[in-house]
Amino acid sequence: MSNTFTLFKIMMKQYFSWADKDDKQKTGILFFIIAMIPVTLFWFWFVNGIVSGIHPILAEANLQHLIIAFALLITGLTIILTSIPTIVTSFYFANDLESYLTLPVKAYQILIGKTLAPLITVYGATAVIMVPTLLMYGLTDGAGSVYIIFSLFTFVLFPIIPFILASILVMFLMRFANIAKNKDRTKVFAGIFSFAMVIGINVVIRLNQNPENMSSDFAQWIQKQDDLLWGTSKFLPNVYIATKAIESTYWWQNALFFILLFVVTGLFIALFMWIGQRLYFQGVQGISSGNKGKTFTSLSNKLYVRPVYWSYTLKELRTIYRTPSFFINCIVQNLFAPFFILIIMFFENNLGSITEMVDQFNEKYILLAMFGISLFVMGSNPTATSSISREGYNWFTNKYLPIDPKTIIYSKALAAWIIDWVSIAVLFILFTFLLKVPFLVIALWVVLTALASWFSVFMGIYVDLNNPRLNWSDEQQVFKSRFAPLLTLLIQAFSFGFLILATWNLPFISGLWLTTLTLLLGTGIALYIAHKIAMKTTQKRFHYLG
Amino acid sequence: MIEIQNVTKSYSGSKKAVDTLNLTIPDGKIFGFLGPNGAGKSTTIKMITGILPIDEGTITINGYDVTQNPIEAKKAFGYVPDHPDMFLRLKGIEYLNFIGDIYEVPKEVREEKIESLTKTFGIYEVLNDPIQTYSHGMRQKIIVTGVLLHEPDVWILDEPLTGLDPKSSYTLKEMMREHTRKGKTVFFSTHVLEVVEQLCDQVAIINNGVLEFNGDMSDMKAQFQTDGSLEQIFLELTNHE
Ligand SMILES: Nc1ncnc2c1ncn2[C@@H]1O[C@H](COP(=O)(O)OP(=O)(O)OP(=O)(O)O)[C@@H](O)[C@H]1O
Ligand SMILES: [Mg+2]
Repeated sequence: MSNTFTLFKIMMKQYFSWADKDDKQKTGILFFIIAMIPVTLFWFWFVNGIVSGIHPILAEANLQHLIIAFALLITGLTIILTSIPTIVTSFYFANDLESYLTLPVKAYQILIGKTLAPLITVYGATAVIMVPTLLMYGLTDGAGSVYIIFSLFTFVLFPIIPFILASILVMFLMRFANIAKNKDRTKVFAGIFSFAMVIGINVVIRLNQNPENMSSDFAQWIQKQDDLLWGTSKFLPNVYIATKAIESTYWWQNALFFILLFVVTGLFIALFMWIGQRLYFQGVQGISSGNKGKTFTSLSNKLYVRPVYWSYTLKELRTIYRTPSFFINCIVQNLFAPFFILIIMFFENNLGSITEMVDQFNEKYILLAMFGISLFVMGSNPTATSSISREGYNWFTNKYLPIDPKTIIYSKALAAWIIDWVSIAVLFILFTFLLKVPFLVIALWVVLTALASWFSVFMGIYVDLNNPRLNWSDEQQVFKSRFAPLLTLLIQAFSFGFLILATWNLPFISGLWLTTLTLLLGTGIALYIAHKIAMKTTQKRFHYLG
Repeated sequence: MIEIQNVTKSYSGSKKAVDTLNLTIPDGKIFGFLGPNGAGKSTTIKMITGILPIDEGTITINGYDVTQNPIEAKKAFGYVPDHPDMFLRLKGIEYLNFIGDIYEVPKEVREEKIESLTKTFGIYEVLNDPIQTYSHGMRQKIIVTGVLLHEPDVWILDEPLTGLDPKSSYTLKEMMREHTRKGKTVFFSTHVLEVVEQLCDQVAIINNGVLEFNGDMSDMKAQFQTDGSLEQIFLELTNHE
């Protein structure tokens, strides 16, 4: 047993290796926590709206525990759907996997070790849904200590079964459906799948935006669906048991159901290990990344002589395009960001009224709004903020090749700028064809955005140069829990937020041309500063990184 | 020619990985760099190539100081690192084009060299595959091809022969001889003493960051007054503490 624990310790260290945080990162975390407070408060308020709205209605029929059942069901389904990509990555595609396969340990031991990291994420998701629900329910229902204690116990046990179901599903797919002949392609699919999930959930939430309205409709709906709900819970057998464990008439009923939950969870864990022992190794072996191409035959039409900066930019673009996590984070996400904005606009008002607004509004304000939106989209693109970090162990190649560091940085900036155009193009379609913005405004917006994109890129590179993460073992770590992208977005929000607000409110800046001129001037100055500090930092730090 | 003067380097700790090293690698000679694991060979090579900043001292390559004139110095050498796992997402041919662009190799030269080198090394057919799909030895070969593509005066190779099959190893050794015959420089680190005995014109042995010996094979035998093999001398030199 002791070697199992050693193995777990090493695996966790590997996974969280970046967690040896220095002071800079600690301030980053603090900052992040502070930024999350209003979001958390809003979420509690939102859940409270639903719970306190539904509770009295259900209480009439003495069905209020359905709230907990429903929350648990949603949690379970969310876990099953969202943890699949994490499980696939952790179980099958982690770069350190090969080194564990050679250790003299059993398949299930590696499996459990590989489970720990995604399981932590699962508990996070569970907490987001269950903590406010249980709290608000408890407050509304006037629950006592039995409720609190069994809520806590159940919280710990509940997520395990949905997680195991997802894992078993993944293992079956990997073993028999053989979707994973090619590691890279599967990774891309898993990534796109999780994005689609996020958007789907977003749509559902937005469809039911008004908590007041929603709660009464919903309560009626739930009352009608009483049977259906319990029926559904058969898919996730522990929903019923867990609900009973939290909310029963007598405390000994709680205890009995909790013990039952405990036993069932144990059975599932045993099942998981048994299946893992049988399926896991066969699934892992034989996964390879990279595609074998056709046999090379003719050299002369494969030779291209290019200027150094362009050759380097191409190298960057190819690496991004061919590395699954880079592709997902830098390009796919880039496509989804404008979609998000569309969804928000669509459900906030309907599209028709926005088009109407575009018609009536002063062109100055339309341009400003468009400019603000595109800044947000570009600012949330992590290509520039990962310019240095993406290199990882390979960073040293930049130091022995005879290329001027400035050229390298410019090439990286150019690559990020080109990728920015993917989202600019999507926004262009959105503005031109869906919102029917006048042509002149579009043209000016393109010019402004192209320039502001350079600012965003140099700012991102500046931030990454100051605190790159080069010692990753899995490409995903380049993007996970780093503060560089958030920091860049905030710098951008502050500097341009000020510019946009000022232009918006100053009465003497009127008309399209004067607005454009003001924005051009502001962006120009910002770009000059960003470029300057990025280049200064390059000079100072380039040779000392890595 | 590489000149290393009073070079010292320590990683974060206080222990010096390389301690006041003085070494001249002359033109026209194959120079072997020996030492036990952790002796400081790779550290020295990384300072020569500009990968690691130098704490104290200076290094020049063909007269160019590596910190003052980095670009000129870097154009003068070609480097094969100890781990050849780089540019994995590029295809072989893309990597060679990239190197060709950086060192400004004309198209005709590229065509001729890539064809002959990769055919000699047996990696011509896989040039269209990502380097990720190459074996260790194939990765090494594509990097060696990249170095030879731009014909640098100075070759700096960190354990270039580990992982190569006998034929390719022989080819590379022949190429090293050919290169020094033209009056150019070859500096390489290795653990294989037989290779040193049959190939090197001059040898330096480093241990714990300190230079223990520098000279040719006859110097060595004279200094240690022995007819023993290089192996015995090496063990004696590096074991005595
Ligand atoms: N990145 C690093 N951080 C800290 N110490 C290092 C680092 N790289 C090397 N060292 C230390 O520097 C010393 C010299 O290492 P170096 O890699 O130069 O040895 P080497 O002679 O190349 O060994 P080998 O024959 O194993 O390749 C060793 O003590 C090593 O522990
Ligand atoms: Mg070494």
